[in-house]
Amino acid sequence: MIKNKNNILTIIVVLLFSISGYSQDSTNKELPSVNIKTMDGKVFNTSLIYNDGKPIILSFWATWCKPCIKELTTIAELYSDWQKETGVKIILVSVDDSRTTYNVKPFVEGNDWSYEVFLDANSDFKRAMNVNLIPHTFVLNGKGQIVWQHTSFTEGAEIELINIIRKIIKGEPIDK
Amino acid sequence: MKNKSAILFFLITGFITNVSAQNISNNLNKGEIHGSFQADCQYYFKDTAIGASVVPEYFLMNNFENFIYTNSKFSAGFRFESYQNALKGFDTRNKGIGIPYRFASYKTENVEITVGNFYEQFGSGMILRAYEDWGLGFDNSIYGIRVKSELIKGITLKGLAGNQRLYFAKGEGIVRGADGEFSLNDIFKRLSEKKTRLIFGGSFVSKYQENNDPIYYFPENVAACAGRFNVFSGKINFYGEYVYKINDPSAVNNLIYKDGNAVHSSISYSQKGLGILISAKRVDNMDFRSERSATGNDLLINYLPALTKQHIYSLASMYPYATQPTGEMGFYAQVIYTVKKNTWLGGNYGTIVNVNYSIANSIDKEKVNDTTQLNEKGTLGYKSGFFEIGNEKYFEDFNVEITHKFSKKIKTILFFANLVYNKDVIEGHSGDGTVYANTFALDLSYKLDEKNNLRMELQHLYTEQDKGNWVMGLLEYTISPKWFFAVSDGWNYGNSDSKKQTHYYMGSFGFVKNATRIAINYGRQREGIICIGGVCRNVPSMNGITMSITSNF
Amino acid sequence: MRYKFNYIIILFLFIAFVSCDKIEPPYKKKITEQNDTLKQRKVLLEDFTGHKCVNCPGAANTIVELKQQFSERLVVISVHSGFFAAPDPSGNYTYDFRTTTGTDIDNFFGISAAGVPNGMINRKEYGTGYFVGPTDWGTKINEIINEPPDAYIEITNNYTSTNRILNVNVKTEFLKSLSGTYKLCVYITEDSIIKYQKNNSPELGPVPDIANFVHQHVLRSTVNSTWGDTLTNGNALAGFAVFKNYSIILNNEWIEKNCTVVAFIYNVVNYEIIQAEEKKIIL
Repeated sequence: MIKNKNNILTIIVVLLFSISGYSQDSTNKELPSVNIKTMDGKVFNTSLIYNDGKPIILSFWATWCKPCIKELTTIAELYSDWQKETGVKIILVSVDDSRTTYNVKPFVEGNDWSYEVFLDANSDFKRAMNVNLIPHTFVLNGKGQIVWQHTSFTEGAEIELINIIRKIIKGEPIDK
Repeated sequence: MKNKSAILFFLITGFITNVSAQNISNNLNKGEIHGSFQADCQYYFKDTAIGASVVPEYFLMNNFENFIYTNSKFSAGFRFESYQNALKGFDTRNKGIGIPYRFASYKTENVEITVGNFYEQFGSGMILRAYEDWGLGFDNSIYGIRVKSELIKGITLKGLAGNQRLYFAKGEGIVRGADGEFSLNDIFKRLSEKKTRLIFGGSFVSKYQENNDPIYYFPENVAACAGRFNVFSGKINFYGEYVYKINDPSAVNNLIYKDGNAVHSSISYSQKGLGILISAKRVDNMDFRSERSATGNDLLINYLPALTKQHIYSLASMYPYATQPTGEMGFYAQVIYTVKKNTWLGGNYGTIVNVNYSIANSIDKEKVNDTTQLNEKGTLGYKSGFFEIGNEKYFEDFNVEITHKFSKKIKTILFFANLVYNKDVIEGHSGDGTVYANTFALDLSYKLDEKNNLRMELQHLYTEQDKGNWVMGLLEYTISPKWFFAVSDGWNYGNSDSKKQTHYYMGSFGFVKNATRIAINYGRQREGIICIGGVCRNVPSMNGITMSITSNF
Repeated sequence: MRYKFNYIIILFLFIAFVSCDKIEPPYKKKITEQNDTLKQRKVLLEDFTGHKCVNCPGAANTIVELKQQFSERLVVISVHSGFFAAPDPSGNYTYDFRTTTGTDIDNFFGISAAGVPNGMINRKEYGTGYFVGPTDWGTKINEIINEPPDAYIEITNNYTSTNRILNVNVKTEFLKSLSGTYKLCVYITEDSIIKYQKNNSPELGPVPDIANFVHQHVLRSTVNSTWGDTLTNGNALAGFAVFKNYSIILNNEWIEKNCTVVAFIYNVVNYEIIQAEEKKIIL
């Protein structure tokens, strides 16, 4: 009986919290400020992610995640064309923990990728971004605000991704 | 009780946010609330052929909702978890509803203070790592206070104290720790332009648990220390870490008073198209928990990852390895090489070759004296020289993976693995011996057009031990970016017991829209061990419908 | 102001650094003398075990150590239940130690599902459940054993070897006023059953199988029922006494000189046992 009372109270608190949250515009959110590391050990704060006013693709992945690798190899072939066309920058955040984190650099180089890669070894940034499953891709506009996101990868999803980037460049609205 | 304290906590944080919002009205507009949720539900059928027992509830569900509120320098959040009841294979102590994770944090440019639950890692986690993994039902977050600072550029300091989460309760033992990391190139100006970068770090962690045992003198305070360093020099990276722990008799080490230690080092070479990694590690009596009697995945303070590859193909992942914290010597090597396109081997699109070898052995253990047995309870246990490798093999894995794209439409992956799996040691029982298995997999992907893709997997596992041979086939059809469909069948045709030569069929489909994913599958799931990092979960065989929904906001 | 935070970190560092106890041998405490009195608290330890569980001889050894310390004040029942207690169709592990009562208790409290060896101390609930790992048995017993007793139990056995009929007389007496419903359970255990047992501790016998392991305190059957008979369901004053009489025919397989009658009283609200007692069938 007492337990139930507490549960009801909890739910009320949760609801109040959510309502107060929705009173503001929940789109165009800023990146949270979390310290992650570069592949050569430098501490980097995620609030500094910026691409000279051009859009950014931020992708959470891991070396053991097969669809992530599929996505990144597919995009690797297209990346230089995308860059020429739109100026987009792709930033990878590896959530490999200490089992595989030292494998990230040889993995990225061995696959001949030219992405900018950061390490989030204890998933602090992943949690702050509310990512449940990987691969999870965010698109940021020129101001560094999150305008679109997608979880999982299927062959052909890269076309949807570049179309979103094209819309941002043209200033068209994005269908959420 | 647990809910009451959670509510109190949120009333207080809510109060603080209100006050700050009133004072600085500008900040009011900056406040954002975001979160995520996931629900995993299973409906069970009775299936005697695979030994799936009927679940009295028929339907089970694990679910969480995560909320994070941020307002410039302040943030607070909580996770609401419910297990009605916990899915088969998850610990049944995950029962009911609660808020086992809640925090409030204040962060300026160079100082951060957190109260409530937090996750943390010192170095590579060999001395302390608090983290969560929903898929494994693992969460050892610390409930207490943590301070981080970087007042001098290049020097990061952390301090923390608290109790660890134990399902919906918390552990008895108190964990206290401090860590410092020094990046020499950032501290000294004349090094800042140097190509070679050096980073040093050190940590101390100590746990306290009262001793009321009537038979043994147990240490109430157990301390551990660790040192690490990292060198980055162009294409070469080096990492080394050493951790040492004083006497810590526990349920896991059979109450022996020997000190523990572990060392892990890795060196890598990477250039465009080539990556090489070599790692080695030695673990000696290094299981570290905040309660003496804790076993399984409960109340772990440190993290000792397995130095083996995490396999993707389901038959190769049938025999996963987990670090043996009481003693192990491991070695790992990996080469990734991209054969350039427009060469004979590389074809028009290039070929990626990934070769990997790993091995884990016991460490040599000598008797302390003639009258004491090895690892005898209430003694020093054993002696072990630092580089003494034992002669019992726990695990060995040699595998090759070749990815080749034939044309714009056809992509293949060819995979082979040779595994040696000491079932007795890894699964902690006796009489099953060692399994020697060879696994082949062919993964063929065919692009029908821009949006439609067909993928096929064929796998075969060959072994004379355990359950014998397996064959598996999978067909997957995706309509990008929203839909996926798959059917698969795993057949244990080599089982020596002809009644157990069963088919494990499975059909699944899913829908993805932006950050929301819904997946439903129906069929049989074989009994097995799921391991992520050094932590494993035993999944019983089941027949039923699984539905999983995940999203964020 | 900002530097205050660094002081906090230095404080943490200091605490972690100095907090360290190095224990020198001997690691084992000397047995402390117990002052036995007639009406004292006795604690029930239920050990959940299985003949195919490699860590279970270790737990059995812990029981031996605890019996040395607490002697008569500790009452033990070994419940063979769950996956590791299931017999094999052939080989060395064909004997079935399991009992309906044991399985009922195990399923109800969820002990073997959390792994064996595991135990319950007076069926008391701690944080996440009823089970207590062998490493903690001593600590948890120590915490409650010196509390003054709530009740007193006296068992008188009357055994006739010709027809194997056992008459059990149990006298229970409340030593302080208690309200609520209290029940009495009476079980039979057997010592010195020699059978195979899996093992991984070389100091306790051959690894991985001990052919002639001595199984102690094995739960054989209940005399009244798994959940027992009601003694009171209202307000019982100090001095309130109840006499119960039971009779049971011993199974032919059981060796009477190794059999013990175990009785205990528990509170039906939280299942906590307030007193336990045991007595050999043949003295």
